[in-house]
Amino acid sequence: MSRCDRVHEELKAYQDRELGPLARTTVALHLRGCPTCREEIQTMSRLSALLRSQPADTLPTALRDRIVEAMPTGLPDAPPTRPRRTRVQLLWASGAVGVVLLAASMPLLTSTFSPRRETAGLAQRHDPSPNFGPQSAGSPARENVGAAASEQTPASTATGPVYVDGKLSSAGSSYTENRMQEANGRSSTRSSTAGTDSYADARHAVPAASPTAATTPPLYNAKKAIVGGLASSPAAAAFDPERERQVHREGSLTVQTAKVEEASDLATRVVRDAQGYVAQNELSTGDDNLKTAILTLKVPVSGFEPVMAKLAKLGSVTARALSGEDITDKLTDEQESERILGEDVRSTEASLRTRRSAGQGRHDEEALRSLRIRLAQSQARLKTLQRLGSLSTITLQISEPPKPAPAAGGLTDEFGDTLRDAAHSFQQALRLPLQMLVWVIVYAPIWGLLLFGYRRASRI
Amino acid sequence: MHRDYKLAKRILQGERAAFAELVDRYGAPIRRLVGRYIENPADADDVTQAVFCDLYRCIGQYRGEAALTTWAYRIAVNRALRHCKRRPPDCATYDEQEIEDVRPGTDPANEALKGELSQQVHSAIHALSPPHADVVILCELEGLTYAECATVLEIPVGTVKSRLNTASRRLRDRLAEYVLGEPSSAATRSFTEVLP
Repeated sequence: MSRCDRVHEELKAYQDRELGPLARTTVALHLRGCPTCREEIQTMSRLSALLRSQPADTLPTALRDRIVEAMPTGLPDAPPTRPRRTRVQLLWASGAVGVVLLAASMPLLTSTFSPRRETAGLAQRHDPSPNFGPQSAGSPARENVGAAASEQTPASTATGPVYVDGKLSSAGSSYTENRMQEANGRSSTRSSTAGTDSYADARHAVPAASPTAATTPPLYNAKKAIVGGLASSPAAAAFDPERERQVHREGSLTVQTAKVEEASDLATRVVRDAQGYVAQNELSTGDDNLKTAILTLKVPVSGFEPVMAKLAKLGSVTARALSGEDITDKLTDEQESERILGEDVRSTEASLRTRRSAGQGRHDEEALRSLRIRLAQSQARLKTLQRLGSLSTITLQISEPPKPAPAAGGLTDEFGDTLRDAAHSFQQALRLPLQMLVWVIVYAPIWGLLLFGYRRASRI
Repeated sequence: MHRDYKLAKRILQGERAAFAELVDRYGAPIRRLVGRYIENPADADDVTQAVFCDLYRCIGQYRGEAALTTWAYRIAVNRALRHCKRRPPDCATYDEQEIEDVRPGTDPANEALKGELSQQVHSAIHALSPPHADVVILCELEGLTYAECATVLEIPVGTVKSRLNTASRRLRDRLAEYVLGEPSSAATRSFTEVLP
């Protein structure tokens, strides 16, 4: 498929201003250099003008009155009490509330029933520092834990998240990460000893026969059961944004470099390394003799940011745009729709079999056909959404930097200008005497004759 | 959209004036849209009335997530298509045809040319396959955006785009004498005169 063919498919949307900024720029660039496509778009504009020139009707008064008079009696149907979408939203909301409650209850549970408190003595009980919240790794709470805690891995050395420069540091985020890992059913990779300083560690480390098991209060076991139950609940499992959310990402990058072809090859290699592919590649030379390459790259969502970072190193970045669309809701709706349609198709098929045996079922056949079409459409939409969710698009524009224009201004230039002006003025001043000299030389015979006549006359 | 939602709530409470407001606001575009599908004016009026009855009945399902026009258009398109399926387009009887009076102050020749042009466009659109005709009617004639058209027809936006592109090419071929500006046709001259 040639470049023109591809642009032809976008021309109508371009004319209707329905293209995104990237695609619009691409088409505009192409139109600048392609008279055929320019002609095509002009024809389309004429066609649209023709179609839109159709007269706009108004509602005849008689019809308006007829409709208003025929307004059905009685109140309209009440809104459905539990639409499917609302159920999905409720599920999400309940999941979110569950997670928030769990997160909110953690500090309370940890500060009250932590095994560390059982072993750390009274000093620990009066420790005013909270176990959950901004706290440094070397807080008093941490220091009072004892030798067992000091042998632990860095991830378990703080009971709460540590904020460094306003950000959650990786070492200090163990609490949150542990909660999420538990909620997702992942196993903790850390090895812990008895008397650990966080509840998460205790939960994994306390076997039935461990020394701390005997001292573990009943309420602690109850809490363990609650958290364990929550961790395995669907609401908690639905919390993992990486696993559940589907985000389609798009990015555009404009890079300037002197070696456009080389940068284009490098970009292709980077994308292939990231298991992606080049969907479109265009290299052109503009009127100003500058080369420009436009590449449309498709990369897996997981490789989007690393690829963007690598592409940014191809030259100096002059423009960068990122956008993302969360298509989880659409995907969920589509999956639900597909499931319900599938059920409908099965039930209609069953009904049809029964009715066929009774010599009826024409209506059901039509309904079944319609349902099958809708199911196929739904499956196609689902497939498209899944593809969108797995691949991200990067539009990369590599261009040569503009050639440096000769520097203007400066003392030398001013001096040169002054010199030129002076020379010109001198030339103008010299012009008249020179012209007179020419006249004198050219008319020399006449002057000679006149001089000769004058001398003869004076002698006489 | 908020205005639409408030209007829908008023209708839901059984307010007659709100329903009249709905008819005043969307009556003309819906009648026009229905008229694109159904040639017989009397049938188009009946279907328009039925659309408003449907709108009234189902107004409780409107949640204000999209413009009420989009929602109303969806009902109108479905109604009109159902009508066309049930009753194939037939010739209107003589007494059903509307003979429009020539308005004073207008050029009868120009009006006739406009009518002819409109007829040509109408025929060209109806010569398209129904899916392509739908997108042309909604996007080109009714001025809906691709997203709104996709909502009305319950198809993805990409499908709207590709269908419109294909339909546009076919229409260009059919209406070449008007669009490509060939001087041989008298209709071309009329087109330039008729266009605003």
